[in-house]
Amino acid sequence: MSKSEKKIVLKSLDNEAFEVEKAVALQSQTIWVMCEDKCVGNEIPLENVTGQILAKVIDYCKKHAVVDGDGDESSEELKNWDTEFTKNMDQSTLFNMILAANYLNIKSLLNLTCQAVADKTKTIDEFHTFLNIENNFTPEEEAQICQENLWAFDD
Amino acid sequence: MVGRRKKTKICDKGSSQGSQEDRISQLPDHLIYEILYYLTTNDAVRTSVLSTRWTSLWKCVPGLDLDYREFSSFNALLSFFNSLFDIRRESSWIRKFQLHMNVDFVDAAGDDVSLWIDFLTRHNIQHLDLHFGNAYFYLSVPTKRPLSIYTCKTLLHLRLFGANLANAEFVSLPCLKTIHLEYVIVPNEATLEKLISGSPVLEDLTIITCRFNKPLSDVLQVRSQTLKRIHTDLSATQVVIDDAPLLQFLRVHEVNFTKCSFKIICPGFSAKVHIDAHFRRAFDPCNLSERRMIRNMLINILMRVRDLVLSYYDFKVAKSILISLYIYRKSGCYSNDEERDQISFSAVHPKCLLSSLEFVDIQTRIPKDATEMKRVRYLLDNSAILKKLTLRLDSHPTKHDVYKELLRIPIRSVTCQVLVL
Repeated sequence: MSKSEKKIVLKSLDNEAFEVEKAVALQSQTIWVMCEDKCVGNEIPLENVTGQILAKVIDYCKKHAVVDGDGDESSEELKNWDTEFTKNMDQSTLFNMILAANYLNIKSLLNLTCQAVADKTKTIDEFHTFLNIENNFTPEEEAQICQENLWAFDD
Repeated sequence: MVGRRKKTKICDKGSSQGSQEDRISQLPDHLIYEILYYLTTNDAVRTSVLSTRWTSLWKCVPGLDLDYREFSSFNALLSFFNSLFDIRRESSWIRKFQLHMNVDFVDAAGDDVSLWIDFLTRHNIQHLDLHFGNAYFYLSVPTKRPLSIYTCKTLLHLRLFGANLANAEFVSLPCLKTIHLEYVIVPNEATLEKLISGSPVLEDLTIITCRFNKPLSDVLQVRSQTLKRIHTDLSATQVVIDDAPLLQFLRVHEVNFTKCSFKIICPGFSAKVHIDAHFRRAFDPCNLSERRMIRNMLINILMRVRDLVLSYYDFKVAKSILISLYIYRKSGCYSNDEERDQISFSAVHPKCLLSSLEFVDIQTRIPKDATEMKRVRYLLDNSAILKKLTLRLDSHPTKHDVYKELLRIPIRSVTCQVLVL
């Protein structure tokens, strides 16, 4: 396999091109299927992901392509890297990452980003404030829902 | 093109930080389930009052995490479970099931929990975490123990606390990577051996505070081509690691001097293994048979060890072990939990010993008197290839003096790093 064949170009929705190692890109099941199908050339258009998000996804894939399967210390290091990776992401980026991970079908990244959202929102108040979910219940409706699973609301 | 534009919107740079947009409610349902998967079931149920969009989302979350402390009685827990599942129906979307029950709940449960587990293990379960009773307590019976737990095709992670294992006739767990057994009563060694050999991709094995109901041979043979980590404290049973070529980490607690607690006899054993041995009591260095015991126990492993962490209560043990280490020319890591011996370090250690020492971690606080510093000085001054020395000063009264003294000590090894915690 020649050098150029090992590389692959990912093109974002806003036409930003990223040249990456094939091994990095193939962590995405979606890209893997596209490559298997041979319906695309060396350039893969990803019409659901912006350049800003794709750059982050590629960072993640690069990190995980290098370290995977290297024993204890590196898996610990990888975990720390993952935590840092999502720690300072704002809400909007986090949700875009979830959608991108889902679209590209990168299971570990989907788990990581979903967990990051869950970690930030443990209580109902946090759901309302951090995630801006508007309560559209009448007090009666809300009380009735609580009643259905009283055990969970019983503080 | 219109379709594309719509998609654009989803993944657009989005709103700036602090916007009031409700992004999460716009996600497709299956992604919301994935987020709620990381909450406890209690927290997930509470999301039903967020808004009308959320009323029933929690019901499809693929994880269940149920804790007896949240329910008034087992019947309340039972009726919640039954409101979610009809176990006669042949389907389940649950990937992870965590259940914590105390003795009262277990007593009240009868066969119910067994039926749940039987149902779940026949359907797509990946993580099963059952916690019965409290620590320091062996639970006598959940009456019927489902055998389907031994033949679950999807199980990745199995953690049992306070449970009884049924006698295994046949085990086939093709995906299982982790086994964690704590306060578990196992019928016999053969059941554990079957559990290990019936899990062809097993990587982590933890067996602590477990006991055998009817031990047969007092020997547990571990053979696994994939096992990477073992943590055990089976002191009455000899653990023989017969064939585990990928083993990297071995942690043995309660090492028993009266018989050889563990033995590694596989030839393909990795050179990178980290052994963390905790001894049950101090041994008598004057007792020749005990000394021989330690020596024999270590002979099998020292050739292949990268790091060795030993916890013991007598400095003389260190002496004996370090000498063994020297004999096998391997790196070690020594710690002393309760320094009692006052023999000067330099007097008892052959200098040549220090030519093979790479890592030393002194896990107890440096005492006020000068003996320990003398040892530190000796180690640094004489260890030719020492790579790292870790000291713990914590709230040492003369911390600054110790620092100053440390800086004055000549370090023989050019690559040595001294870490003060």
